[in-house]
Amino acid sequence: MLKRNGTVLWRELDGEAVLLDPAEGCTYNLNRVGTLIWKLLDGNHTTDDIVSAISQEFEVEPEQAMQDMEHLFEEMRQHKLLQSDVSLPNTTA
Amino acid sequence: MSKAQENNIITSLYIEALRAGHPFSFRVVSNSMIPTLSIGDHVYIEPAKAKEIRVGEIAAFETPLGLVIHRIVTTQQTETSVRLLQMADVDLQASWIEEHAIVGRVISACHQNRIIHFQHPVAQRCGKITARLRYQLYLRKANKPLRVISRHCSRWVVRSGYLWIRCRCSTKVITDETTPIYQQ
Repeated sequence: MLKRNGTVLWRELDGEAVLLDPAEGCTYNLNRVGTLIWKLLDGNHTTDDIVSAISQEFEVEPEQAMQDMEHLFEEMRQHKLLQSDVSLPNTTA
Repeated sequence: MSKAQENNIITSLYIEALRAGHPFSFRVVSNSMIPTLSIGDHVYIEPAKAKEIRVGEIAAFETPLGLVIHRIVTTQQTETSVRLLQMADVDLQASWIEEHAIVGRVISACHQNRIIHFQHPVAQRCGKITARLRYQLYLRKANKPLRVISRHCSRWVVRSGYLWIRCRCSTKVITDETTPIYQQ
């Protein structure tokens, strides 16, 4: 499960979020899809939940939603906006 | 989201980050602190609480218009809190800032190809003297015949203080195309 970097400050207005990474002194703007994903990166939602939420909210195919999500995750990883991958195993022993 | 709304959000995020203990550089967007600071200068602000700000320092505080940096000319300790009297360098207007509005202090500034170090002991002393003199002039400003003289004296005090600090507490920045070099 992915989680947003807790040190990143953010505000949302009209469905769009502005992020500030204090450590880097950088700000980022997220569109509506990005903002929805960002809000769901709270550690309580799986990637499947996020894909499902995007599909419902923006009426797109799950494949398209997955692609957009992966693309955003990649960019967020590059900018250290995600908490160091706290990936929980998909299968349990 | 309009550009103005976005700027407001970004400002509030930076203020929140300062309050959380992160220092930042900001670009000056007004000439209220001339000659010390001008539009386009970069100031480095470190987080500080009202009780830590000394007379003569340039404090950063939150206002409805955003983040403002002005010099503190006197402080007033009440039973429960402290408040600071702020003044721009450009005129003899002053207003009180409540404790909760303070977010930090200006440590240094990049001004006209020089880095001015406001925490240098000479800059601190000079800032303090300047602030105290200007506070006295501000008090005398209420007296009409003295108003014009007070303003002129204030400008002279600010100018002298600025030149002294610039001369004693700044380092020249020499830049080539690739690497900045700082020279004493």
